[in-house]
Amino acid sequence: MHHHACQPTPPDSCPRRHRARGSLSTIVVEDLVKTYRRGFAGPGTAVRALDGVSLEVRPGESLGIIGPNGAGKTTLLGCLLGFLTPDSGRVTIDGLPPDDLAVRAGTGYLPERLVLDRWMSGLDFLRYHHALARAGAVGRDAECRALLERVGLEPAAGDRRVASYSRGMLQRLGLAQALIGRPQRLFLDEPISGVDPGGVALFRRILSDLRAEGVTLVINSHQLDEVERVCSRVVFVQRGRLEAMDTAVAGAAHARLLRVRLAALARPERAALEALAARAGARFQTWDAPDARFVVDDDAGATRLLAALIEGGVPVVEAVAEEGRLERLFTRPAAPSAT
Amino acid sequence: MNATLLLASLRQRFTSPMRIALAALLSLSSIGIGMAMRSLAPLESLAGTLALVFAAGAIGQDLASGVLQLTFSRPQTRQSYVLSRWAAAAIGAWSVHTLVVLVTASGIALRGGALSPRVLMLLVTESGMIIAATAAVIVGLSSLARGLGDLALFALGVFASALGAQIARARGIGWLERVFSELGRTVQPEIRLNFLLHGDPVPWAALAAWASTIPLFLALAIAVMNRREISYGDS
Repeated sequence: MHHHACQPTPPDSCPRRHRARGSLSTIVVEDLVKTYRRGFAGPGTAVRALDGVSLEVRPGESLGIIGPNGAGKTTLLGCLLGFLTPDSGRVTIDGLPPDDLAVRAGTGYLPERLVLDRWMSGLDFLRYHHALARAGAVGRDAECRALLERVGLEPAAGDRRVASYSRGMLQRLGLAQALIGRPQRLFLDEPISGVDPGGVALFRRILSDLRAEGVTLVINSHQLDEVERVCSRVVFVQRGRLEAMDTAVAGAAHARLLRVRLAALARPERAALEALAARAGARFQTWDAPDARFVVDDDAGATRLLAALIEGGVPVVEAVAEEGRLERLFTRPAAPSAT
Repeated sequence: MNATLLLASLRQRFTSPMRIALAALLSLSSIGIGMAMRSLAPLESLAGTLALVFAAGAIGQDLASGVLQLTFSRPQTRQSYVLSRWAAAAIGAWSVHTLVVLVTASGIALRGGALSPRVLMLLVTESGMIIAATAAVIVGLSSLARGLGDLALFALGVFASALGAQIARARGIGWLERVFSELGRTVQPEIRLNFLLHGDPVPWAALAAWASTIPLFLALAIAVMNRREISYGDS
């Protein structure tokens, strides 16, 4: 079923073909199986959270893990971090098990449900994790204060107890904690959950900077828009299986609904829009002032459509994909389950 | 053992309002009774109780809160985490107990009582040994149960061993009574060093029982934690 599921993406992006390329890879996951047993063991009480997942994350790559609730994303992340022990299969990071201390020394982690020692101040918390990360005592205070500033927390916030932090402040502090010691790889579980729009923009900028610095990013998120912006590759997990893999290049080849906003007072003829769309190889769908919707085959089709509209005198002010590239993964039919 | 984990654990124990209130209540009442009786004897039973106060939930509360995910994402072994939690609980309880001994002894001396420094040293050493062993028992039980479930397991152990010993005695089964008594001493370690003052024979069996309790329960906690999967907290 995996091969079937991989067909929409280019051959190189099929998860099965990414297996075990040895030293080139930072993170290698091979045939990972993880089952949870509820209550006393019995065949009906086992839930297979991961069912033969294989993938590879190359150094400096940013991988998004998406999928519906209960798909196995958090379990996969737990295995990548060495918190959970798979029934079979294995995870290696630079050839070492994920709970190896050398691996941990180069790893940063931001959990979805951030639980902090609430008796600490924000700065205490960073100093504590700085020491645990063995990042060196010299310059500890300065580095922790710089991290607070990097995530947009006021210096005064560092002296406040974390018990008084808002959800968004906690998330920022959590990201600061994950960045301690300049990790080579970062695992982020729902990183922008509870963050205000300003914070989202800041997180986006920080993640973009980290990408530029060559940090390997693994992001588990429901925020498809953010995943699409930040990640160079995305895996779609469903029923414990890696159902599809997508890249920006692969996504560009997919048809999507494009919403084109026209100038407020524009009242184009429906027939004119249909004709312009047909000339560009697109399909006109609806006109609901000031928005017109078209179906385009791919990125190139979108470019042709916009050029045709502008050449045709249509006052275009904005064009947005109505459905992100990743949302189509959630609407495609699921592969039949083997369990 | 890791100094960062140890200091953080110690600070956590001393900033818990419930623990501090309990420790203060127990300490002040022991000081009061000791001074009224002009004796340090009432302080002997305080050591084990303070160890319970400081060690309760040492691991279980971290398991329940989910804070361990972040701790274990760092280059720290689970063994050093367990040992640090144990040492912090023991150091916290022992320092409070020592303070109580010193305050009580000063009070007795001010009221004209006489206490030899050897007796004081003996009591402080004895309490340190009891606290170290009791904290190890609680840390071991804490690795098995989330939250403050270790206290329930401890109470169950004390109750079951006492009940078992009673029943065995009533039925005249000597070996079974000894087994339950030994179990009780393992869960509630006791050691008396009076033999050092009076020149009595060395109680090797009691010393061996005390000495084996610490590695036994710490090994249990380390083994359980090494096998335990770390997930999000309960809430």
